[in-house]
Amino acid sequence: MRSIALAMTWEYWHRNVRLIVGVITTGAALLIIPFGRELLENPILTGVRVLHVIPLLTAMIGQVVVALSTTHKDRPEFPQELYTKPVSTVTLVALRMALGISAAAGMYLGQALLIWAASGVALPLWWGPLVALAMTAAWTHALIWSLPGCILPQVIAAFLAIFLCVSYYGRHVASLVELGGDLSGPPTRMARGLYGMGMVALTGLAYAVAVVGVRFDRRGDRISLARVGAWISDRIYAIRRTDRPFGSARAAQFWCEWRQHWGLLLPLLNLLALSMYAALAMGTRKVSLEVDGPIFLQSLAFINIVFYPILVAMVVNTQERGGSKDLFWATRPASDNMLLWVRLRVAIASLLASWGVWLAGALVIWGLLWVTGQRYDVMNIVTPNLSRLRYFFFYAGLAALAMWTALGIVGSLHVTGRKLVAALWLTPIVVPVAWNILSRNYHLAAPLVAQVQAITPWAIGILCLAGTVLVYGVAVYKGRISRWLPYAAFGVYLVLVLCQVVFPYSDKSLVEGKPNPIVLSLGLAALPLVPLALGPLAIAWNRHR
Amino acid sequence: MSANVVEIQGLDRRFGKRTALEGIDLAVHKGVVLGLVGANGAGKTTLIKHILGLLKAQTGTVRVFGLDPVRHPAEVLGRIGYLSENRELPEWMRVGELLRYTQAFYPAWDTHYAQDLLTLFELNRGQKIKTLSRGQRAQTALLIALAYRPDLLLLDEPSSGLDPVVRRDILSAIIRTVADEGRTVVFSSHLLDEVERVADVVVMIHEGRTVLKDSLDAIKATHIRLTVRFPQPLTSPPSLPGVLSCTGGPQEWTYVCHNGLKDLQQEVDAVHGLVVDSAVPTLDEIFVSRAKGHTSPEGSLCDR
Amino acid sequence: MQIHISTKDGVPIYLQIVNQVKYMVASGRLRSGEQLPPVRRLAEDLLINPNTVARAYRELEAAKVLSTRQGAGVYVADTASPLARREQTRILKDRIDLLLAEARHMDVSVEDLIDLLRQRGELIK
Repeated sequence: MRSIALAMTWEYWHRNVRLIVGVITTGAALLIIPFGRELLENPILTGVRVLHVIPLLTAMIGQVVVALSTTHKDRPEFPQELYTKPVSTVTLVALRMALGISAAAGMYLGQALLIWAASGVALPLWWGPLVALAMTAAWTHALIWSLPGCILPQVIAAFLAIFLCVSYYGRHVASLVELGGDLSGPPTRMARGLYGMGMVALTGLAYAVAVVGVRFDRRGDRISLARVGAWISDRIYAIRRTDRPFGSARAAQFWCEWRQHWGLLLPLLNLLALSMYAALAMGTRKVSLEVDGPIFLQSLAFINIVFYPILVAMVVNTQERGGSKDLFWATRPASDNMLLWVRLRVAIASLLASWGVWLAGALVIWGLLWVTGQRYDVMNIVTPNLSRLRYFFFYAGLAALAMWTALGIVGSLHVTGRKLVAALWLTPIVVPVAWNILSRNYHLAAPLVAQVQAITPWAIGILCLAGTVLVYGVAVYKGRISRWLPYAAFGVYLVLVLCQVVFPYSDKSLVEGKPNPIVLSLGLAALPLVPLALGPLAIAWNRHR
Repeated sequence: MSANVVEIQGLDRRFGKRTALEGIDLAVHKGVVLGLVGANGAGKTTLIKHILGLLKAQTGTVRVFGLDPVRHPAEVLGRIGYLSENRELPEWMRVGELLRYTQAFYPAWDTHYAQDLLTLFELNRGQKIKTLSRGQRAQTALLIALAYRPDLLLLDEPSSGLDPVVRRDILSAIIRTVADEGRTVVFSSHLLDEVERVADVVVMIHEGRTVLKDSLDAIKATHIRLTVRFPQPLTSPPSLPGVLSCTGGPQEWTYVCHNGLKDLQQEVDAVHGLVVDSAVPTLDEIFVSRAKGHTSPEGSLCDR
Repeated sequence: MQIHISTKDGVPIYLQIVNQVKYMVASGRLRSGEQLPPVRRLAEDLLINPNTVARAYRELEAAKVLSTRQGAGVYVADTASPLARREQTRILKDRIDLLLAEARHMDVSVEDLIDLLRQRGELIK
């Protein structure tokens, strides 16, 4: 028995050591790099209280990842090969859970050590955070092992467990005592102690649940959620199946890409958000349609604008990255550009559907407001401060253009099928954030910062223009786009530049106080045209190596 | 030129430092069954990927149906039926959905033929591809490659990993394709028995180079397996012209040679040997001899 | 039609088919006027290249063992009998050669062999 425990421990750590070390370094880095200077110079007590949650959460999420990374990627569950060992379920579960808890503890302790080494700040260790980690680890493992087969319910359950455990810990247990302050008397200390014992009890409960779940699994009595999902999918197929042939290759490819990349996902997410909001608004008194409605719609719109094109573009190519589906997709008798545009059309269709749902929600909310006697200015729902229709269309156009640009460029980067190239889309986010952190926290020389701020718009503008010209040049040279496309693109570019000139200057209030370097706006106006050349280049680069 | 379905000239391919193909010249005539033979990693799949346009020719040219498959993927691929080594298929689709999807890309799709193959292979339309067995996957992948009667059938290890029953089904489906006039077949295989039965022309690739390229009859006619008995036991027997390999015991040695019996007979007499047995070697023997033995010029020693 | 193809023989496949068909005609398993399977089906059954089967059929036709009727398939030729006789004799000769080699190896004389043959012949009658 002892040798099995040793063997299991060795195997567990050997397999996960890289992951654990990765989590430790990432968590510590997440804390040190942004806050480094502040930590060193000014470790405020409340600051540390907030700070210690980050490594804690990192450790918790890290241990979920470790728990899910069992031997078989598409069967995340209790490692099946352990069932053949001559060990009782009770012991087996105890061992695995102990390993999981120690992994979580190890991750937190590792981060604490690194942070202490780097900045001299000592994170709280005993007993609150560790017991909280034990409880969270126990519950996530119990849930994962009791819901075998399908990863999505497991992840949802795990995150729910983390949320609840952290809330419990934060409200009842975490306190200034751990951070150097004094407790104000025995009753509070006793209350904390009681809640602490409650955590231990909950951990024991998690263990019991895990034992029951694993016992069922070992006997083979499991309700495989994967099987339930498959049964549902079969029923749906039986109803919806059709042998009617597609009208064209393009239609077939659209269907394939839509299904493969979950085109309905985004509209459904929008629908979900709206439904939840509606339920909240109708169910509780806390949400006011009049006040929150517009805010909710605006934030949803903002998300649709900013994040969804990026989200969609990532979904667009997640399946292709060096996977075996490459070969099937690449051997379809379709031109490179057809495959590219069908894929983009799926993304656009998905996005439009999401906006359609949003619009429906907006109309319903506005309608409700109207019906209940509040003649809400419809424009205020969508765009505050701009009550004139003209500006609505301008901003709508701008938003559409921005979405197209983001989708096109990010999508093209992903369509290359190469991870490193695809990751380039992070540059416009990482670079400004890194710069911001550097200049704020590391106190770069002020004149240098001012110089960089001054040069940046010019640099960006020139980069965009040069990049656009380069991309078009290469695309024409390699024959990926037709010769007249650059001319057409230039024509559109001129129109965009004209729009930039016309609109802002027609209302002085928009222009005043805003520096408007011409080069930057010229450069940005070129960006919407980049995908037309970048896309064909990217897909040819992927398909023909 | 117009009678050549595939024409490759001077093709080289490097992956970083590793040379995958070197100086490949290949012309596949219409209606020919070409067997591509070689060890794992010899370059067969790389060659096939060039024909499909998945790899660009770094040096040399590749022309399929007279076109460059990289510049005209739609035209070229529309006339090729391809079976990949790992039977790549969209896992989430069902068999019926895959058929419906593939049909849209090929105007020449024969629905009845597809249904016949479906029945012959005993495949279920409603089954998810993810849940198919290995043999069923191969059958499905072959089905969608055959159903539109392509001009060129390109098969990468069609029988690998399959049980004899499925292998028989697949092979007979391929032969039926060959029997249709004008269809060209190029297939790579480890099962040299199958290559001997089915191929008209055999191309053997070793470490990226073509070591043999001839009709099967010619190959069989120009190779010989000779068992020679020597008067005394020998530790290293004398080599014969065109020898590919020699194995055997101290007194009786079996040679596989790229030569004719008449020429060899003289040499054998010269070294005081007695030809005990001579036969046409199987393709397997020729391949193994070429792959493992030294194709060295006369004068060098034979190895065990 | 039972034909067995072996790639280990060293004998070309088409020749194996030719020999076996000749044998079957000679031994009476294939009668005059009997139809042979079409090229395509035989190729599928034996799992060999249809061209090989076609070549075998051509050779057999040239040797007047088979005859093709336009659009109706391949049949055993009527004029097969003299060939059958020749083929039968050839087959017997091969067998006898083997027997003689064995006998010599065992140090049995030809006369003793003939006596043995007669004995066995009496028994079979």
